[in-house]
This record gives sequence, C-alpha cells and structure tokens, in this order.
Amino acid sequence: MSEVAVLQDEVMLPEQKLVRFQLGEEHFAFSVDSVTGIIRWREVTPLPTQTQHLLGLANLRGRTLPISDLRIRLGIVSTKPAEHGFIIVTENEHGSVGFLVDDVAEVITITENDVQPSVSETNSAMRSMVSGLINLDNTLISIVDMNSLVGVSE
Amino acid sequence: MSVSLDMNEYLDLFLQETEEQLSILEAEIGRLAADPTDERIGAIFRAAHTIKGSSRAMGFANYADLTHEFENVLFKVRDRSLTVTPEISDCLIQTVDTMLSGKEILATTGNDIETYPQLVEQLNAFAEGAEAGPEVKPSVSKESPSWPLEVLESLQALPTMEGIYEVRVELDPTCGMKYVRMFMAITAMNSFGEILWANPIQEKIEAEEFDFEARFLVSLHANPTDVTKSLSSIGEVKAIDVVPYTAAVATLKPTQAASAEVEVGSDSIQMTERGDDRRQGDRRGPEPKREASQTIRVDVSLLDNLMNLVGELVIDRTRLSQIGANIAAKAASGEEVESLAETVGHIGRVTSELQEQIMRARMLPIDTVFQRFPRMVRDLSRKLGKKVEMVIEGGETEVDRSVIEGISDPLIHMIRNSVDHGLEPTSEERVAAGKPEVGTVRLTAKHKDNAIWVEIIDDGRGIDAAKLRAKAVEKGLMTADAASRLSDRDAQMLIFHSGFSTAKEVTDVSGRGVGMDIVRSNIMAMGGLIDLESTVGAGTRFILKLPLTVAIMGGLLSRVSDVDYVMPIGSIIETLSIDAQPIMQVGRQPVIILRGQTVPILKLRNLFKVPGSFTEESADNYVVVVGSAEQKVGLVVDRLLGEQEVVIKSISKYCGELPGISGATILGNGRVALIVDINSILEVTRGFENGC
Repeated sequence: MSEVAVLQDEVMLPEQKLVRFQLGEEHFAFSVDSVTGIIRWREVTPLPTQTQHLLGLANLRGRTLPISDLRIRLGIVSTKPAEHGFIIVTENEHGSVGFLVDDVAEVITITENDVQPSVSETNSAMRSMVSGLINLDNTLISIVDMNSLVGVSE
Repeated sequence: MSVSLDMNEYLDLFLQETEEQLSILEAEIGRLAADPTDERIGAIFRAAHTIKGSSRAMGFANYADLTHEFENVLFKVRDRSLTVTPEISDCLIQTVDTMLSGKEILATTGNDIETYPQLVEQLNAFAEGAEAGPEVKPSVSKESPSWPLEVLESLQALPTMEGIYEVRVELDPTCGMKYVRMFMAITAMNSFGEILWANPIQEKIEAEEFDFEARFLVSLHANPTDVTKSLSSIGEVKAIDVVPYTAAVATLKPTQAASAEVEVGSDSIQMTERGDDRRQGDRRGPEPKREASQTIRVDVSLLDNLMNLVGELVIDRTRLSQIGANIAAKAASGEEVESLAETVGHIGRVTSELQEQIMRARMLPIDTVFQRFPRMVRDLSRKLGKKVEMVIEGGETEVDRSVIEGISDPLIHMIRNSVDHGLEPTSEERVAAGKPEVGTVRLTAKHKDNAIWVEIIDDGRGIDAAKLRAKAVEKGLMTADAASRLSDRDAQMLIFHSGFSTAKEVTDVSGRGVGMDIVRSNIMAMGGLIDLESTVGAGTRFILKLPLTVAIMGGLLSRVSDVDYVMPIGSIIETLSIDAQPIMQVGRQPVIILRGQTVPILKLRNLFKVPGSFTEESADNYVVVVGSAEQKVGLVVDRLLGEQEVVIKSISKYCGELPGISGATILGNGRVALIVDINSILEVTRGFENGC
C-alpha cells in the first residue's frame, strides 16, 4: 500500500486533451475524446422540435447528423450568424451530434492541476455544464462537461 | 472428450448447423402429438438425424447418443409402429430442451455434454415398447436386392444408362474410423457426380453399422478412372470397384415418370442439386452434409453492408439522373448527351435490379419468427389451464430480415395477450357460449397491396366496447360524455392506449397494461399499421400491415418553404391542387370535401412549424391525401417534387421525440429530407372524426 502511495507522488498527473473553441467573445473547451471531426457550416434541415438549440439535421457523408447550437445551449447571446461557424462532430453511445461553434482554435493539453473550480456562472445552463476553468496565457477558458452536453436532450 | 485444435475451426460451423436444426426441432416437436403429419415427422427425423451425424463427427459422443435415442423413437413414429402419446410427446420435448441446453454447453466449453441415463432409458423404453411395425428395420439391408425398385424405376426415366456406375468401396478391416473414411469416399464421389443411392444407407454408415464395405449407385460426369484414382488416395481403403451399371434395368417396365430428376427415397443419400429449399422446410431426403451445394452461408452483416451500399447507390442513381437531366437541358442535343442519358438510364435499371436481388437475398420466411409460437402457446395454455390450438398459415411468406427482427417482440406480446385475455378463461364458459371447448389462435401471414399482412385471430370473447368506455372514464382518460361519443371501434382501439388493461387481474403471462401500447408504437416505428376487428362473443382479429422492408421506401417528395418532406407512397391516396378544392370550416377544423367525404386538412407548415418566409402565391398549393379508406387526412404542402425511392436513415436519439417524423433520408442533391409519420398524424386528426 505505502509503496503505491509513494509511487503516485512521483508519477506525472494524467494529461487531458481538450479542443478549444470560441462562442462570441468567450472561450470554451471540451474533451477531445469523443470528437470525430470538425467541419464547416453546412445546410441544415430544421426539425419539428421544441428544443431550441437543436438546429436540425445535416448530411455528413451520407448519414444524418443532428446539429446543436452551443451558443443557445449555453445561453450565450451573440449575433454572429451560424453560416460562418464550424461544427465539431462528436460521437458517443447515443449517436453522433455536431456542435455549432463560432471558431475552433486548437487542441490543448492540460493536467488536473491546471483546472480551477468554476466561478459562479451567470446562467443556469452554464452552471450545470461548465465543470471548471483554466487560465491559459491570461485567457480564461471554461471547460464544458461532455456528458451533460451529449445526454439525450430534455 | 474435448475438441482437438484442428477441429476448432469446424466447431462454429457445427454450432451454426446444429442451431438451425434445433430450431426446426423446437418448432415442430410441440405440434407433433396434436398433428403428426408425415411431413412433420419427417422434418423432425431429418433434423435429429443431421444433428446426430455432425455431433458424432465432431466427437461429441454423448450428444450424438442422446440424439440417436431421440431419433430411434421418431423412427418408430415414422413407420407408424408407435403412436405419440402425451407421455412420449413430453419426453421428446424434454429431450429437445436438453439438446438445446446441451448445445450451449458445447458452444461455451467445446466439450461434450454429460450423459442423461434417465432420459436415454426413457426414450429407449418408448422405442423398444413399440409394436413390431411392418418395417422396423430399414428397408435396405445388405441382404436385400441391391437397389430398391423405385431407384431402378427412376433410372428408367433417364435417356441413357451411360454415366451410371456402381461403386464398391471396401475399407481396411483394421481401419479405426470407418465413418470418417467412408465419408471421405462419399465426398470424393460427389465431386465427380451424384450419388443416387447408398447401400448400406447413410444412417448406418454414420453409425458405423457396416462391415467395412459400402456400395453406391452413382451418376458420374467424370471419367471412372479418375474416380478410382481419387478414391484410392484415401487412406485405409482396401479395394475399389467402379463398374458401369447395366443390370436389371431392361427388365423393368417403362414408367410414366417424365421428370429427368432422379427421385430418390428418404433413406438414401440424396445428392441432387437443390435451390434454396433449405429454407422452405420441404426437404425430402436427409440433409446431406458438406455437399457441393448450390447454396452458401453468408454472414448477415455482409448482407447488411451490401444493403447499405446499395442504398448509397440508389441515392447516387437519383443524383445522376438529375445531373443528366440538367446537362440535357443545357447542352444542345448531340450524340454525347444522348449516350449520357442512355447510360444513366441503364445504370438506373441495373441499380434497381441489384437492389431487388439483394433485398431478395435478405428475405427469410416469416416462419423464422412464427415457428416458436406453437411451443409458446402450448406452455402458456398449460400454465393458464386453457385448451388452446394454435394454427399457423402462410409461414412461407418471405419478408425482409429487418421486418423479422422488428415484429418478433410485438408478436410474442400479442399472442400471449390473445391466449391470456382473448380466449375465455374456462372451457365451460366456451361450451356455454356454444363454442368448441378448445380455443383457437390463428396466426397468418400474406402479401397484400405491396405490404405484408400478419393477422392474429382468436375465437374468444371479443373486446367489449362498453367496458372499455367505462374503464376510460374510470381512469380519467376522458369524460363520460366523450366516451359515450366514441364509436365501438374507437372504443376498442383504446386497448392500445398506454396504461390500459381490461383484464380483471394482472397475470404474469401478459402482465400489466404495458403491452399493447408498446406493441403499437413498435409496429408504427417500423412504418407499419395496426388495426383490429372485434365482435363481442365471437373473437378478435388483429391486423398488422408491415412494410416489405424497413430500409428502402418509395416516397413522394414535397416541399414546404425550404424543407423537403417525404411521404410514404403506401399511405398516399391522391394528390390535388388546392385551387380546385375549396376549403371549408367545420368548427375550427378546415376540411375539404372529397367525393362526398369530409377530409380534415393540416398545413405541414403549421404542424411542423416550418421556418422561412413565404408568399401567398408560392405557398400551400397542393393537398396530399393520405391514410386509409376509413380515415383520411389532407396534408398541405407548397410543391410536389415527384416520386422517388429513399433510403431510410434513423435520426439520432439526441433529437428526442419528433412528433410526426419517423426518420430522415438523404436526397440525390445531398439535402436531408424528413420522412413524415403518417400514422401519428392520423392520430392527431382521429379526434376530429369522433367529433370531439
């Protein structure tokens, strides 16, 4: 037991890769694990649904891909039209989902030590989905929890 | 005995084959006592026989022995020296159960099963106890005339005796595995022609009940010396004779047999080429093993992949013809434009043909699902103490695999429901109502109107509309006033309402009222319809109308604003220009009058809250009338874009409930179109017809 404990102290903390993107003026990132690709905005067929952030279905190589507008999802007010954005394609056990973002910056590597607890967010969507903050070169990046994002929409 | 390393690769094959044969046993054995037709006995016998042979070849001696005892009883049943009593039937069913669980042991451990001395003894007693029938021994033995009369007669039908040879194979008396050697000889002969008859018969060869020698009547298409050469290369073969067959034939009277196919009896090794009758269950001879067959096994996922690829091809075909049309419109007529149109047309036809052929390859007889029900009903009837007869019709109807998968659970539920709730609880009640003591549940399948109709019919109590009305009010689903306005049929349809169970007590057979609503939503999710007809005192008929496949669908493409919608061709009654149809109001519901019938209309724009601006002129120009003869609804769209085949794509669960939409598809131009769920839209307007 004690041996293990000693070893753990010496071992580097596990690294985590996040994809960083922008929504309006704010910076966000989420785990790259379930990301399968990033595509440019493409035509979306609207669905009869009450779920506001669900823009509709896009054609991704012969499959239908639901597109969720992350700005609406996270309650961020922005006037930038969707046509200029990017879609981050993710896949999990519920299927694929594409998240519409304004700009995709890069993939960043962090360790747990870099993560600070999130400050109290202004809106409830952010409070429930932002799991932490990182400060990267004086830019504050909110980490969005993938699980709460891709859960079947309410 | 464990499977040696080199046998491992055969284990999968063995398990697959055994599983198939076991499912035949499972299906047929329950019906044996009630309906011991020759066909059924034969099917059971052959399945057991095949299992026995292959498990012996795999070295599963105990498994083979158990099957052997089972087969012995069936043998007596087949020659009518043994009648299937309920005791015998129970014992046979128990054996099949043991074989089923035994197969799992073989599959998981790769080792033989334990012996079942009690069961074996019991089976043995039944077989021994049989009266000496006319033919207790197989008709062909070493002492009997070389070849049976029917073989000689059928040879007569051949234009010439050329190519018919008698082959004698004699094994070394020190030979260890007689069956294996002889089997190799049989395989070798099969590669040069067809074995018409074997003496001793195949069963005996498999059971190693022969004296190192066997004779075969073979129709060869190769040089007999090649056969000799091939046979002598088999180890431990002592002697081989290949001689032209001439004897006795001339003395026979010519027969009327016009068929060129050599008809052989069921005890022979039948090696005639067969098409896909493996699936049809009408085999005549025992299953020949590892024959040079005209059928092959294909992994299901391969067929699914092919189907998906063809789906893509169907999309591209549509796209190609659009591009072709565009080019033709732009370019002046010329040789190249013409040949493009011609090629596009040809690709279209080939794709359609390819699609159809692959669809056919995916077809299975619906019996694949049906065959388990007699057994289920039998178990159920015992549990409930009801007398029930299950009748199955149209089991040979072929349906797509996707449909087979989709209807299995709903059917289980519906049949349980019919036995449990549909039929009267006691025989006395039936007799008092002037019905036969034994209740009947009939399960039928047929092709009709480009769909598959599956019906479940019972001759039970029927569904009492009055009771359902009362129940609906009691449960607070509707007011007494609304309930009283429901037609009888609509009241009966309430059984599909969630949380509705009219059985007085909850039983562990059909459970609580969580069945029929799920059944209905499953059927509708497949693009099917469910309907019922019921008369109190006379019984209930459930009708399932299922699509031929759930993968590709013919649809009418229409557009509202900038969104494309596909409506299943099967549910479209007609399309109308709205100008010719004055819209009237009944209450707040807009309707059109169609040949005297009031049809409610719905604007898809409003129903689906389609975004986008529109002008009066461009919008809402057409009405697509959908539904059935009894219930119609007119869906208003902007434009009709034509009929086309679409590949149905599921929509991610992420999107949640999408009322009125059953799926999506990708069009030739790459756009995503939504498939309209006609059933759920009819649901919305159903209230209108009831005036509530």
